[in-house]
Amino acid sequence: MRHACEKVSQLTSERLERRLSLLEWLHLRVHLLMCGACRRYDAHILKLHTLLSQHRQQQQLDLPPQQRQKIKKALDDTVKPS
Amino acid sequence: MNPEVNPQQWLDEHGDALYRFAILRAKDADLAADLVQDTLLAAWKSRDSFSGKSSIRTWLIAILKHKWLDYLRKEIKQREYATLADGDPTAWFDANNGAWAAPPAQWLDDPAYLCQNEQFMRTLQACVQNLPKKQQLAFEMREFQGLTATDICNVCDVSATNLHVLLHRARLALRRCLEHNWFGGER
Repeated sequence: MRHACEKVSQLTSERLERRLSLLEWLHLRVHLLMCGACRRYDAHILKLHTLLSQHRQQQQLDLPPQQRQKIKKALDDTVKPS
Repeated sequence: MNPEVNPQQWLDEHGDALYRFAILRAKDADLAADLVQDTLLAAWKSRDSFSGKSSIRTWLIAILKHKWLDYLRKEIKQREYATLADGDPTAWFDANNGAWAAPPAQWLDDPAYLCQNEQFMRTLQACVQNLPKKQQLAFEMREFQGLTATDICNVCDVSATNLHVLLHRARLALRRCLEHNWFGGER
């Protein structure tokens, strides 16, 4: 099929954003079975996606105390008990 | 004062959750704290709009999300868009048969290890910085901030198809940049 790898590399990316149609999914799977280069590409893109989502999770932090104090003060200034 | 509408209590009980939501997106501690503050102040101002149908936290997070998207909108307007002198990564496919002109090499490292490796993350950041502006923005929002495609389309005012193209090109370029600069696959 003409332009097969180009099209498949696009599907590899798009399946991270949306659900592929059954036809697209089959197209992708069948091509990956036959093509080592695209299999690798697919694995790399998935790896990049996975490592970035792990990176996001590791960044989770609590609100630092001094920032909390600052916000507390700002709230106090606005919410003056009448 | 009704305990339900006490911003100090919101801060005590939901401050960490709000901050976590903000830091994951903003990546900057000061900015994240500012967003939390803006959110609590905005929540206080519109306290009458809290219906009690959802939990306080859900309501606060929804406000924070709006604050964050507002911030992004302002940011995007300030950034200059590079015109379409963008290199075209789809040129890496053979023009005649659409096969890979230079097939991907093997990558050995494990994602769990890579995402903790500061040097790798720096290399990745540098590769991201080298992307054309629109791709860079789309990729950062999608993969660093973890926004959904729908949210990005709303903020950046691009169609879903457009966003898919941007992300696809960004991934093509990043993958190659990482291969050159980190994994050291041949050529």
